Amino acid sequence: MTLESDLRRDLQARAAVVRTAPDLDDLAGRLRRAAARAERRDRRVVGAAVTALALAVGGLAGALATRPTVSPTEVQGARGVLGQGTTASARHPRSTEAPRRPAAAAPRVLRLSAGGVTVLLTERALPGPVAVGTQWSPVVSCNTADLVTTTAGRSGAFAESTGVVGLPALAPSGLEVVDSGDLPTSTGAEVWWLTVATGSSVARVAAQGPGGQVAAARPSGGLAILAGVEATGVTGPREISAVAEDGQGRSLASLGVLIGSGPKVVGEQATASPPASGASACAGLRFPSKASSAAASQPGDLRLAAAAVVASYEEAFSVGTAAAASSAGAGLPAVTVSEVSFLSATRADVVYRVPGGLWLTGLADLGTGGHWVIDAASVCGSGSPAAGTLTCPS
Amino acid sequence: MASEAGPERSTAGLSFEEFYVERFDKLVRLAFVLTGSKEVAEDLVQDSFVRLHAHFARLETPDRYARQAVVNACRSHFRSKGRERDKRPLLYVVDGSSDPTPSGELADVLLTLPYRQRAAVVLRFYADMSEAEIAEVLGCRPGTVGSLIHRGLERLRKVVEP
Repeated sequence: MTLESDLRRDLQARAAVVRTAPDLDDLAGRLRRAAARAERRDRRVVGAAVTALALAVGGLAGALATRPTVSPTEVQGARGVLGQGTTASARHPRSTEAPRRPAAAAPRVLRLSAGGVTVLLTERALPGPVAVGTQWSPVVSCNTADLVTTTAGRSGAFAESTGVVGLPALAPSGLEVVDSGDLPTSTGAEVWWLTVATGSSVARVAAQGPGGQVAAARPSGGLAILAGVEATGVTGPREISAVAEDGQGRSLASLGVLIGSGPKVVGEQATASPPASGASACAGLRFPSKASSAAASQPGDLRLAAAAVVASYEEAFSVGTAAAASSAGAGLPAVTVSEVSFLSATRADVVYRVPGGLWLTGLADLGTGGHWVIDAASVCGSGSPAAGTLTCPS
Repeated sequence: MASEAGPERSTAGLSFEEFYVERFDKLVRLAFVLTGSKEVAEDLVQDSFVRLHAHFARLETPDRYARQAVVNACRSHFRSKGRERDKRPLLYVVDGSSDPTPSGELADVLLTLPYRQRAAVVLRFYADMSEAEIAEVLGCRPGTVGSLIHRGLERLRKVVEP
């Protein structure tokens, strides 16, 4: 006998001892339970599909909502739309409602393209509390915030500015400046832009530029970008006024800004701590790296140009800070330039610190003869903390 | 194909219920020689018929499908059993009623083989299936079936013919 035949015989003998009978009742029960499981599974699949569809539709709606909402006709529209509601010194109501938006993990980009002007806005969450002030005023508070970088371009020229959003939440009717800036073009016309944060009840924001140009936009995700092109030869205050309206066109809030102003990140805390007020709460600040400005043209020799910018600031302030330096202690440097970012081949954004620990920002321009000089207006303009503390450089 | 219980009656034209009554016993015996447990075999065959029910109306050869379902169910049973065994503590009291111990009979020794070898041997020598048919049931190439049977027989031979 071979193993195979033994195996065949053993298996048949083993199986033959099994006596069993079909159990139709048990089978019917199993079939019912299987059908119920399948039904539940189908419901879950349909539910998941509906959820996925809703998310997809929501994502599409969100993407559409972030598209520019300003039409060329609005950008270049008629004058006088802002009417009586515009004031240059409006205060914006705040509330204790939840922050407008949690700190975003990924940057958000808004784009406005109208009237030959393209404005790109990038909003990214800063990793920790930051000191927020303005270009003209001391540090006002430390907050968790988003950094907003705006780049505007027209006819091959472009400029960049930065602002802050995410300060204590706005009231539903609130309106707050995030950033503003301008861009001279080769034709002599000037592009201006304004980014504002809006409360939940704001359905439309209209702004009027220095030359009376009017722009309007619907807020997206609590932000609205407005831009206009100013005709050549416009004189007068370099300011923009804006008004927020509800869905029925009623004015909710208004404000006015000097072009180039707006809240700025003036220092970043090395370690996270609860929000506090006052310059002392932001002791030990360090500056965050600026958002990329790779799109802007840069000087040929960045290191040499940066050194020249630093020298221009140190030299310009050396006289003005003498008194402060002597009172604060011997050897105190006049100003400490922390960072130089080139907005173009001929313009630099400078972060510097004056005696007393105050961080400020200013501009420098490449003057005739290839020398970098400070932009006095950015340093000694109206409201600058330098006034009264420092003798502004001539 | 010859059957493990003699010539197989045609199932053509049978309703699902009739097919179930006709084939249940035979499939339980197949599952029994694969698992060594009558209770487990009955349970697995019932579940196999539940799966068969969903496809029965459009099956040309429900016998083949049913046999494959039973073999797969037995494999799943041993997989889950293996997972349960993996979760056991390394030290435990043996009460004498746990895993089957080879008694020296071939059918018992067969249960110690890896499942694929065991299934190939059972389908070949109990169900009298060809290597091609076994390959279809196990989802492998006929050559692999030959190898599985060969290695299974070698291991059996080492046990019964030391």
